[in-house]
Amino acid sequence: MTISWVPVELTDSIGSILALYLAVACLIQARLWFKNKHDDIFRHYIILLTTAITIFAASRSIGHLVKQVLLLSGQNHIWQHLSPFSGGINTATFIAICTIGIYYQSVEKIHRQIEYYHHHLEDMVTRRTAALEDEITERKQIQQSLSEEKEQLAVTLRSIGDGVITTDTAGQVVLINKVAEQLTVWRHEEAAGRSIIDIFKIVDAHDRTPLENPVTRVLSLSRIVAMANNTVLIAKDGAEYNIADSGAPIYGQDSNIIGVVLVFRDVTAEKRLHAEMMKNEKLESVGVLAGGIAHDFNNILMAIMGNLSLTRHILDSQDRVYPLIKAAEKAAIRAKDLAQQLLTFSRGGDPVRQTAAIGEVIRESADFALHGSQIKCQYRIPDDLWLVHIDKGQMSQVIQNLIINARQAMDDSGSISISCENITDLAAEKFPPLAADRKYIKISTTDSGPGIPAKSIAKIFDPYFTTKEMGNGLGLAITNSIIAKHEGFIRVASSPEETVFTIYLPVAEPRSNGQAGAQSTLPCYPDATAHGKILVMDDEEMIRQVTYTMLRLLGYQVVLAADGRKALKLYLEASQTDAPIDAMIMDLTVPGGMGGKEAAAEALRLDPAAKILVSSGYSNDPIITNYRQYGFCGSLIKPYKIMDLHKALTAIITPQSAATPN
Amino acid sequence: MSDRLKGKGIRCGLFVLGLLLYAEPALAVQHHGGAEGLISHQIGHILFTLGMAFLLFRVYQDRKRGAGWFEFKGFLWCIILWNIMTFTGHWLDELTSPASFTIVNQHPVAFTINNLQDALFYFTRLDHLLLLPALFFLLKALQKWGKA
Repeated sequence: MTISWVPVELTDSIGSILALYLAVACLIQARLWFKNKHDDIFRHYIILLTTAITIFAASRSIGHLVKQVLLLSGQNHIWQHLSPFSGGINTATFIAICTIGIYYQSVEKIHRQIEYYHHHLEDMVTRRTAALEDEITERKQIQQSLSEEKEQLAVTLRSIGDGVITTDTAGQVVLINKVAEQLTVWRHEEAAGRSIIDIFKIVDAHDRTPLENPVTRVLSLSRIVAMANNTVLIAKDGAEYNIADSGAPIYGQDSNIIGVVLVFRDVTAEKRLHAEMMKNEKLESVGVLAGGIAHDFNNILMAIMGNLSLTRHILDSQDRVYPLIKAAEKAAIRAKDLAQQLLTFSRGGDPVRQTAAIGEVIRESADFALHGSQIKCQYRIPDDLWLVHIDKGQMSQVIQNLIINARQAMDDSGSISISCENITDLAAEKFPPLAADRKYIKISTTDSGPGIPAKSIAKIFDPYFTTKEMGNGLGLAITNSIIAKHEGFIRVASSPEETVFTIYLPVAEPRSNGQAGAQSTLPCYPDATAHGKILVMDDEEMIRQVTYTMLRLLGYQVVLAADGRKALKLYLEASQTDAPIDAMIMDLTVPGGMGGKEAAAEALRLDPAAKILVSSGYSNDPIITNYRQYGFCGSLIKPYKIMDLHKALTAIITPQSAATPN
Repeated sequence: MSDRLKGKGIRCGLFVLGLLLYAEPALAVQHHGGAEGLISHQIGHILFTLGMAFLLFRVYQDRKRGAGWFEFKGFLWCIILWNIMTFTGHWLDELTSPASFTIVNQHPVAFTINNLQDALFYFTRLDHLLLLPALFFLLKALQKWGKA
């Protein structure tokens, strides 16, 4: 079958024109579309694809049209030359289209990934931010807990009462706590990184030889080591501390030693306290001994003084022996005071106060303390010095302590002045503890000694503080205590030229003045006009005898008993008769028998109206000080004189109450 | 791009074109005459077809829908078929006898169909019937994408 070739040529020609037109239209349309969005990879691809197709269409269409023209015009040989170019371009565009496709696939894949990241970036950032926040929170919590742990460790270290120093294995300081800083006088900033040997210098307390550093020992022995008791730490400023310490290795996670921790504490005070305790025990022993001696000595003095006072009473004052007896009595009184001091020292206690002029006490005490010394003492004591309510014995001890201290400070040469004055202007004294509603007298002792060092002045009233090699550190402490018990105050001012102790004592209340006045009106030698029956209970025979003599001389009837039980029996027997006992004088302490306290309690149980005086050599015994609480009507401090006895009995026995006239 | 570089590019392009136009056979290099041209062209068709087929596969795989995608798929189908058609046409061109053509003044005016191959050859010569719809579909797809 033969078919016309015209349809083929027509299709080829018209098709080529239309294909070229459509290809160009596609390219234009693609470019317009591409302009809207440059970053679209598919549009890029379409641009390349349409470009390639347009090139192909142009090459093919133009080629076909040219071919038709050349064939129709009989120029076939020209077409033979051009044909390979047209075909080659077409082939190249096919390959280019394929290549563009492959390229597009690769780029599109990357583009998709980029698009994915682009579109999910916010989510990713949000997720990552959340993760980071979690991470940061976790890190912060860890840091917080680490910080807290560190803080806790630091606070713990700071709070530890012991010194703590840690070092590395080279012995270089890593950490030093507050107490260690104070003891070594090395600040943490200075000490960190330095050798422990520089920071922690220790010597033997006895022979001062340097001791092996505990860090070195710990590192060599790899175990905990303790230091000897006699270790002394020498601080940077030269201060020395007795220390107790131990060193221990610090182990790391791999059980290797990574450092050493030293823990030490200042035992200086502990050692001092121990020494003080030892001293106290010694003092207590001495006190017991002194107390025992003083008690017996007091009883002997009672007999001596009693008999002396009786002798002086019997003798005519014009008798040539009379001054000798008086001098002996004065010496006995001084011995009594000494015994009282010994008793005070041995027993302590509240003062037994009486209203008195302190001037004489000061003179006697100072003279006594300066006896045998080259030191001159000047007194400025006005006659109108107000009376004070004092325990004469204790106040004498105060003055003696101050004067003895001054004497020792001046090496027995120089001068001391003691002045007394009434304080009329409290404000001028600038001494805050003084009560504005009370009156005071001021006693000042001034010595020309070298003065008290400034660093010691705040401690001089502390018990056991002393700058003297042989001192016990109790003198000024007792002085301060006695003044405080008298509601007074003491202060000190010192310079290299002089030291002034100033004592403020409250002035006696008006009633005290009255009592003092009453005392002064009492007769020196009572006549034998007293009435009454007195029971004297004392375990000492000589005291019973001298008291008996005194009482008889005063006009009393006397019954004697050696202990409380005997006294009670006699009291009961007498109460059954017409001559009951009007008053009893009971010794407080009866070794091996019923003492005054128990006997008085029993007597008062049997007869609540019983009048009892308590008698003792311990002037500061609580029963003597507060005798009313125990049912006694008054007290008598042994050794007492006839006048003391007379006053005490007169106060409790009125003539009307005395049952039996003499 | 600077003018200097542009000038260099133009000069290089003209030099390459000159080489192509006045190329003479040289024994020193491989000769690319004869069937090589056809084979190269056919390979080009195969690559073109594979390229478009893969793109079509991706379009279906990505389930592209919406404005323009139907037309784009039409373009791809048509261009693939066109490639097959022209590939077949080039192949049959070599097999078809010149005697089948009636030549007048060195110009074919008729074609004698003796068998199915001849008929298929005649049909493949009408390839614009597929190329034009393909380009039309591409244009419509681009227009719709442009509007979208």
